Amino acid sequence: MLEVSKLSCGYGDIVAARDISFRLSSGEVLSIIGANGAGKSSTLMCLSGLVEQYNGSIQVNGVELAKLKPEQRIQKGISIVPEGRRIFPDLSVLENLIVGGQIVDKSTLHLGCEQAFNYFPRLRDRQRQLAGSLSGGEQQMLAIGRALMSQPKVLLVDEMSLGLMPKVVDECYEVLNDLKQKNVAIVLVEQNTERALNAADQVLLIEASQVTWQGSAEALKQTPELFNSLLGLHKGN
Amino acid sequence: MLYLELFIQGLVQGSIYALIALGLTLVYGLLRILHVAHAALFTLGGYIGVIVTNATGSFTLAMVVAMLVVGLAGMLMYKLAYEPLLSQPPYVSLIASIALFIASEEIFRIAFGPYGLSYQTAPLQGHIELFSGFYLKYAEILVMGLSTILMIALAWLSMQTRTGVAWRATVTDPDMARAFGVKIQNVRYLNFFIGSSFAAAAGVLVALLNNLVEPTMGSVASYKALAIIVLGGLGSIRGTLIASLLLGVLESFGTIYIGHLLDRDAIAFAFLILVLMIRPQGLMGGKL
Ligand SMILES: Nc1ncnc2c1ncn2[C@@H]1O[C@H](COP(=O)(O)OP(=O)(O)OP(=O)(O)O)[C@@H](O)[C@H]1O
Ligand SMILES: [Mg+2]
Repeated sequence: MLEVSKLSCGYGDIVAARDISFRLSSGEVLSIIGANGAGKSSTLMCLSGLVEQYNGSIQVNGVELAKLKPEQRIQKGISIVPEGRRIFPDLSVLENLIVGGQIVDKSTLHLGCEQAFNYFPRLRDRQRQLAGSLSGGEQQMLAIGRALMSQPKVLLVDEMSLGLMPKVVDECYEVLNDLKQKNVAIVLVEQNTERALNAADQVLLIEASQVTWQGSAEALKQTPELFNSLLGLHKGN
Repeated sequence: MLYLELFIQGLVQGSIYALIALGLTLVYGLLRILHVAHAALFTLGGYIGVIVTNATGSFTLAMVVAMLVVGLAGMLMYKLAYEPLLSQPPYVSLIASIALFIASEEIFRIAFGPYGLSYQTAPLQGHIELFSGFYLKYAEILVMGLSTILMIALAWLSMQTRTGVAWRATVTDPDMARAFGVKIQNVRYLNFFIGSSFAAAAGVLVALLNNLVEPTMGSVASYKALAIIVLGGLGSIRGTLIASLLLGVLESFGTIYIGHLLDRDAIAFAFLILVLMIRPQGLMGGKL
């Protein structure tokens, strides 16, 4: 489904991540874990085509994305819930969803809105409201709904639970779980390590732009020192 | 009665300002470029209007041709002059824009002569009597009517169509818009097409009101439109419309009551300075 090999990316001279490789099947979740500034968000943005890629390859179902612009990549089935949500504040909720469904036809657009409203009934009541006036949790729901409008095969999710009440986080994870059942491959970046590890099939640890450990979530649990230190790392959150 | 007449005069002038300034606002909103050369497109519109009317006898056709050709010219201007400079700091494209504008005056002079052109038989010269003693020229009705129609069409496009929604999304966050498949190249072309064709309409209408187009007709338009978009709060469409109409009406009354102190353009800039002293972000602008 998603195959990344030897990916390096960054901003001009500033390298944000190097030599990232992984292979994700449909319905699998990869959690990328690392400290602040490790290069997690840059990696996701690079997969979406918004951060410069120096090297390596990104393939979705065998199609190479490296040379494609962001607006072409979404056509290949990759979509993003970005760090900081980045909803369009002066567009209404409905209009945000419409932008998310830019590449689909009208009937799929309607289905997509229905799906988003079913996942997050609160958005249905607020569809005419300006997105900028939503609460943080509602904005996150909208960011997820927007990303699903294009019916992606690969979903990139960055810091979804940051600043949200546990109940809302649960709600969001339920949606991810449902997507997993529907064979969407998910790349998850998450400060909340416990949640991230619970959801993960595969784990990738990044430290200072480099991969320091990678493997299945099972394998990680069988490496208790590492597992515990990871959980300890973010106990404060 | 005088008040009403002055008010209508102001609205007519304000509608013209709005048509011109809107393109500047659209370009500023999308690319953060001060598109000074926009006024050259206004002049081009005026010339095409007069030339096509004189050649075919149809003012309507002239208006349509002017809007289409100038719309395309605006897209070309973006492609050739601005796109290559997008990665540079904004003042670079500002300099390019000013250069383009100065060059355009010379091009008009060389192509169409230094003295300007007039309609052979000026269209729409009659007037109607609205009520006793109060006359409206057909040309003035056309200016207000066409501006209103164009603004409504733009509002419909940007609020009611998927293209319009994508356009507004691109203005707020171009990267995110792209990530969801908005072809921002097309958005920019559309932006320049619409802004330029509106300026062309203004050019044709000014040519109609004055029965004259000349190479330098863009210069007053250029700095006044800049003043208006600052007044409106840079990038705000609503602010631009309000500032345009307000300025039109203010100038209209001002020339009668303080015309012996300040001329029309001086009134406009005095007002601009006054507003910016009180509201540096402009009438409708957000926080600075
Ligand atoms: N726009 C940018 N220009 C230059 N450097 C940047 C830019 N964005 C991020 N960086 C740098 O790239 C590196 C990786 O940043 P990134 O945002 O990917 O980290 P992260 O792992 O997502 O961190 P966090 O957990 O804080 O979100 C950092 O050193 C950061 O300073
Ligand atoms: Mg991050």
